[in-house]
Amino acid sequence: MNAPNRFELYVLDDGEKPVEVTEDTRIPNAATFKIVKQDHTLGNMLRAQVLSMPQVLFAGYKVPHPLHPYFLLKIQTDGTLTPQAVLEQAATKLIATLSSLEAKFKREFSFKDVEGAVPEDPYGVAGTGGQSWNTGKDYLDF
Amino acid sequence: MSANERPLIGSVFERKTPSTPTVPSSRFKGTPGTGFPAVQHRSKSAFARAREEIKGIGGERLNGVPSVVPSQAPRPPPFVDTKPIPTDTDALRSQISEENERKIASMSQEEIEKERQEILDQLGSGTGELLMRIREARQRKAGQEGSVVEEKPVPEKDGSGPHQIAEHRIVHPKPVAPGLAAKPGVLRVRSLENIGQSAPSPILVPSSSTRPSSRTGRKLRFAEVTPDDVHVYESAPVSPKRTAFALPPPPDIKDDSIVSLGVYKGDAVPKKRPYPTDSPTDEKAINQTTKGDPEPEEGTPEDIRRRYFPNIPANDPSLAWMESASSDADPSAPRFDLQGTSIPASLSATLPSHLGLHHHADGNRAGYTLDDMFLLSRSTVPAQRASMLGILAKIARRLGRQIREDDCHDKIVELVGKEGELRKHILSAGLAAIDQVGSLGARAVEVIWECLVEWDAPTSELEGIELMLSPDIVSSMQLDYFLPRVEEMFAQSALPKESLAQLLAVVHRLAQQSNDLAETIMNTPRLIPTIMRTFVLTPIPALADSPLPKPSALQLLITLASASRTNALALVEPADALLRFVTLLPDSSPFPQSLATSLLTHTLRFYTTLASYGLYSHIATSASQYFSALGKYVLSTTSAQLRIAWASLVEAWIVCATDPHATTPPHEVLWSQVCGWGWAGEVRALREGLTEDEADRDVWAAIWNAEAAWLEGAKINGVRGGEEERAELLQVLGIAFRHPSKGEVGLEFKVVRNSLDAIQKCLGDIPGTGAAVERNLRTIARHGHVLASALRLLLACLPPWNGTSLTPPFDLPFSDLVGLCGQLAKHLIWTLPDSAPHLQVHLRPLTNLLVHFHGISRHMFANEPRLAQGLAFLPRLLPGDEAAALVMADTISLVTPDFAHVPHKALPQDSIITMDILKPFFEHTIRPNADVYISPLHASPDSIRRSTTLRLPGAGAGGGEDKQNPKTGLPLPRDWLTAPLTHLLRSGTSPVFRALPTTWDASEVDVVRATLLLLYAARFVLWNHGPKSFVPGPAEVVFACMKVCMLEHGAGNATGSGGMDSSEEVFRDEFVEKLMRELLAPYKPSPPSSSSTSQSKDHAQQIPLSELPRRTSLEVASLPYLQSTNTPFYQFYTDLVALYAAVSFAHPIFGALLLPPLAMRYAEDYRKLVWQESEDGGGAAAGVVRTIRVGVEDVLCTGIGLEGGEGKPDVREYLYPVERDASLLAAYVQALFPRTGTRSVQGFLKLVAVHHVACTIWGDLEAGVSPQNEDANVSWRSEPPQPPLAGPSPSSYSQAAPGTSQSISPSDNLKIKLLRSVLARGEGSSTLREILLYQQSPRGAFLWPPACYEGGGEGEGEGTAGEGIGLDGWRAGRLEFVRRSIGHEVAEKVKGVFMQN
Repeated sequence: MNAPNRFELYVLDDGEKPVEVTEDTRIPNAATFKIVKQDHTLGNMLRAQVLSMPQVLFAGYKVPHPLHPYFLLKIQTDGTLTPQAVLEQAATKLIATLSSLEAKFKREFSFKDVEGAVPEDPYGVAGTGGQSWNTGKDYLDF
Repeated sequence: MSANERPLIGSVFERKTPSTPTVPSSRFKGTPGTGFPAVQHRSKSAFARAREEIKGIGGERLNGVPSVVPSQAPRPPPFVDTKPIPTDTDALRSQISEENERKIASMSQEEIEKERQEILDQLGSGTGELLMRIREARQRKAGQEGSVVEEKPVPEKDGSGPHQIAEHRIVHPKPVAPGLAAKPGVLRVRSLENIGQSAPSPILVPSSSTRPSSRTGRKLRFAEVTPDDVHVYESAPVSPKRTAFALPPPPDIKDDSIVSLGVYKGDAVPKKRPYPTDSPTDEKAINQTTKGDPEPEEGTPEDIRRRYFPNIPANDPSLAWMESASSDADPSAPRFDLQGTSIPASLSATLPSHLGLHHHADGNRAGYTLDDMFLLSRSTVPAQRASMLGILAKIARRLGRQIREDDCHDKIVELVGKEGELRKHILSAGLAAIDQVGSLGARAVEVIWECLVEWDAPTSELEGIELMLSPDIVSSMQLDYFLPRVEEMFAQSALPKESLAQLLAVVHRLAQQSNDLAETIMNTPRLIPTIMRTFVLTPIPALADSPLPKPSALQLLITLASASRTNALALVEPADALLRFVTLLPDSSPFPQSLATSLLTHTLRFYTTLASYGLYSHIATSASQYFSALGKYVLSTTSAQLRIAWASLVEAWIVCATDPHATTPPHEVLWSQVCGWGWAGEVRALREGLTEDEADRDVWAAIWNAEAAWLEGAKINGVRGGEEERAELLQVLGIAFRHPSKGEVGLEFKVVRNSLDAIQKCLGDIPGTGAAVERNLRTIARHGHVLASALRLLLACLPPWNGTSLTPPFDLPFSDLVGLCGQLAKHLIWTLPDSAPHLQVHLRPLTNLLVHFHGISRHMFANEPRLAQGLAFLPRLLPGDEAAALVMADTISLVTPDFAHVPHKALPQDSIITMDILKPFFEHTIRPNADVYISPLHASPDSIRRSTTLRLPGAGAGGGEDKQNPKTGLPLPRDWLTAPLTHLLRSGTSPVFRALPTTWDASEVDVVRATLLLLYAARFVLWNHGPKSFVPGPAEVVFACMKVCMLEHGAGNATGSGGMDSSEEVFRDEFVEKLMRELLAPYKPSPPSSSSTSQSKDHAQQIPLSELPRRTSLEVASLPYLQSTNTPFYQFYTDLVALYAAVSFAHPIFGALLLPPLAMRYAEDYRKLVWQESEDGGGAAAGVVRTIRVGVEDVLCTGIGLEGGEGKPDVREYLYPVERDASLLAAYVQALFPRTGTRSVQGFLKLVAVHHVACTIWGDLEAGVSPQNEDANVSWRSEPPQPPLAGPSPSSYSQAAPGTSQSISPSDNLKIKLLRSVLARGEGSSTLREILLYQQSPRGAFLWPPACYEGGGEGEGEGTAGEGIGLDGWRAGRLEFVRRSIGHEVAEKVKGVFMQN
């Protein structure tokens, strides 16, 4: 009925800027980024990437309204880097990660035709247990 | 030969009577020669014939047929031997023939001939020959027989004959008839042994004959056949209805095809109960025949199974249908006699049957079980039904009493606990019979009355509240059917007066139940008019047999009118008719004096009720002469009730006159009229003759209230604010209330004094349970009423408030009143009605007292204590006190930043904080439903215009389906001070925002500021002046702050800077921040060194926390807010954490607010949410742990110390007991040693993580935790250093000391794994060092960081940490543990850490 058109979720309007930055007036080294025509997919990824940087004190994002296609990313740093710089670095790293992921995936996928057989453990060695976390944590076995 | 034996003979001889020629027998009439009875046409009944016969036979026979014969006559023979029979027969026969001869000798020849002819006629011509043959045969057999002229039956006329025969037959009892003997169920199975032992019967019964071929033969045959000789073959008819044939006995040879059914054992029909007169022979016979009998008794299920289902094993469930429903299976089921008393099981088995207690379907026991009664109460026989309903009514009365009184002496113990269910059953039994006429209908009414009215007898007088007692009972009544029936019964008046009165009481009880039911009663067509006609509008003067009017009917009208304004409007019409009780004053009334007074009192009360709605006050004008006459009469009478009713009516009418627009319709009674009638003087005169006695207290209260109403009205309508009226009255009151110190003590002062003493005594000893609670509450309510009225009068005597305190116009024991109100506010009396909500109504005078006291307190107290009083009294107010509550809530406008001692520099410059912006929120909280206006205890001009009901909502009004739309907000929930926050959080649905006045333009921040300031001030003043239990607890304050943080600013606001500027968040507001910090300050632990740099100078720090109420659980504190939406606190917390992660920018206060649920006494789910999900990379709480950088000194400790602590905030509520959950421990390690590049956890959370990991690894830390080692731990702390490695290990390691190869317990396994991972991941990091050296104890002083990371405080006496190999106790132990569990190499590395520190 009155649902917005699908394309409005990802197509920028005329003259609409994809990213806006608002530096927080009272909180030091803090900024809020408004990233339009994006949703949780990018928001969560970016937030996690930003959080993994040692200079970052706080990073959080929220989607204020499910029908409004934008999210707010809030970043606060310890002052050695500006939030903008942190976000740029994070974005770069994220792109690198994703492209390497893509390359790996394509390479492995091309092996499918060559070998014609599925590797014994499709999830690799790291996934010895579904409950494992990020890295190999052997003490987890208790 | 006793008279008892005659029946035996009679039954034998009855069949022979026809053979006597002198008696004309209808049976043998006209049937010559055959010997068989003639065919009979049943023109007469068998009874009639028998009667005729008996008449014909004579008086002796008449006596001889008692009903008990069948049970005694047939007796099985004690022995199978029949030998004696012939000898006896011979003797008898000779005796008979002798007699016969004697007789014949005395007869004349004609007579002999006549007799002879008759016999020949009857028996046929060949008789002579037959007789001859028989005689010859006999002679051959016996050899010696006297000469018998005639073989002839024993003549009837001769009395000795039957006796002879009787003797004979008693000696050899025989079955009387083969039919009876062969009946199934009367045979006894003949055992195999019996077959072998018993000789065959000397006389074979002809198989073809069931009838005797001749008289003599028959007689002999029956004399000879023993029960053992009767057999039924398998092919015999199976139906118990059909008569089985008597058959010859089986052959001596055993034949398997023949099945014996058993041996006849006399009366085998099961007797209801054994007769005490049972003869010994009978029992002997039974014993004999049952002896050694392996086969089941005839007719038992086992028997049937063997006979008809031989292939099916015993106890097969498919044959369960055969088992009789054993009626006596449940002997424990209580049985009742006709009076409804239970018959003990021991007695019920032995009671005789003539008491009428055996008329039930089954069982031998006397009395009726409840099931019997319920069954019989549906009987089609009205009498049966009525008697059963009678019993049920009596049982209901007993049950009701036993549930009311704990110490009831005659409890029906079997039914304890089942009363409610039975009540419903009994009631429905009564309801089912309600449409019956006659005594049955009356009984049905009684049952209903017992179940409904008498059951709740203590509440039958209770007015002013919807009872809401046993709603399931009332809802099961199907009132839409019941009420029209009631109307019919009233209209017909067919029932006795008592029943009609009971029915009236039932209607009254229903009206008491709830306002809805009262409405239903009003809407039942013709019901009220019929009741009026039947019970009220009786003819005057009363006819001889006409009923008198009933005050209880007037009471019903009062109840109905008080239920709702609609009802009252409908009842205005019949109100005119009641004037008859006013015009005819009791001394001139045709009714008895007491009845007339009662009617008058009730009429006045009814008018008062109407006047409480502002209705029907015009009657004061139109019937003024009658009322003035009434006023004079009341002065002359001594009836206290009448005086009270009159004073109350005057009070209500004065209130009506105060504001003429408030009445419906307006201008019904005017102030000038009131002045003209001189009511004030009349009321003043009422005090004549009153004493300080207990009995007159209520009269005093009524008088004071009326005078207060008068003065209140005069303040509005009188000249110069009613100054003259006040002065006039004060002349009287000044003397009446004279304080003892000013001369002779005034009478009314004494009354107040006495009430004060009485109420304080009652408050002192409130019992916890039972009927005594209600009694006590009543007393307290009465005295509270007196005190409240006195205060109201005092308040009315003060001129209108102009801002200056005044001295009291007359004396009251003020200091005691202050004490009483303080005591009342915190007294546990308010929680008493929790069990019985209708008792709430007794508390109304007390709230009234509090309200008036608060009104006066502004003349007596400064603002601060007054605010404290208001805050303490407000949660006590009950429904109906809304208006007063609003006035009281206005005192919060006293709160200003100044007042709360908030430093000026903290004030925001841009706006002024006023409490007025909060008013709409509180108004809505107090009165959430504008459609309901519950009238206060004493009407006010506002209430008479607006009130919709006079009754308090009953139980359940606050909950259930009404939760969304409660009738009232009172009593206030504990968190009412934060109500504005609640409405802000629910601003989308809150009705407050829709109804805000146009002048209200506060922002969200303003509201939050004001609310927090209020909370802060409330805590302050309550602490300093009020009862401590009203001070908000730590969890409540923390939750309020959580709510503030939850206010998401600009959510969904797409335009503008929605969410872009974080400084707009409410919790970032400078003043809000400041207030939150102040509010939370008392819950922070104080750092070790007296670092008074922070806010420790603030007054809040003066509060010793140990005295704070221990409302420490957030889950409990959040209930008032979250319950309405059925949200668990965990969900709220999840949202809070998510919000923190999204927008907080690591706000320190917000972060600190996340911590309290992580304390160890909360469920581990909270910790898992924060610690684990944050590391998964996903979830709402991602990364939260690393962004919370709250220092240890800023942690909020809502637990206020551990058990047995000193009541100071102690962060160890987060540390002990040590975490056991392995996944959480893993999360701690993960947080301590994150992936490279990311920050590790900091501040307090680091302490938490290190603590739990270290305590899990190091046995010495753990040892201090387990409870049994508590004391050992203390001593361990002060233990001198252990000798280095050479000596024995510290006790905590002793278990593992002997060798490393021993089996490792699961907990050790966990320790080692944890240690290994810590060592591996944290190599070289400072965190590892901290874990290795961590020290903490659940007892004693808390070791603050960094001391705890460095091996304990300096003053711990552990400074001997020597160089080289000199390691003290726990260091050595830990090193040893590392060595043993990981390896020597690692231990050497680690050793350095231990050595250096």
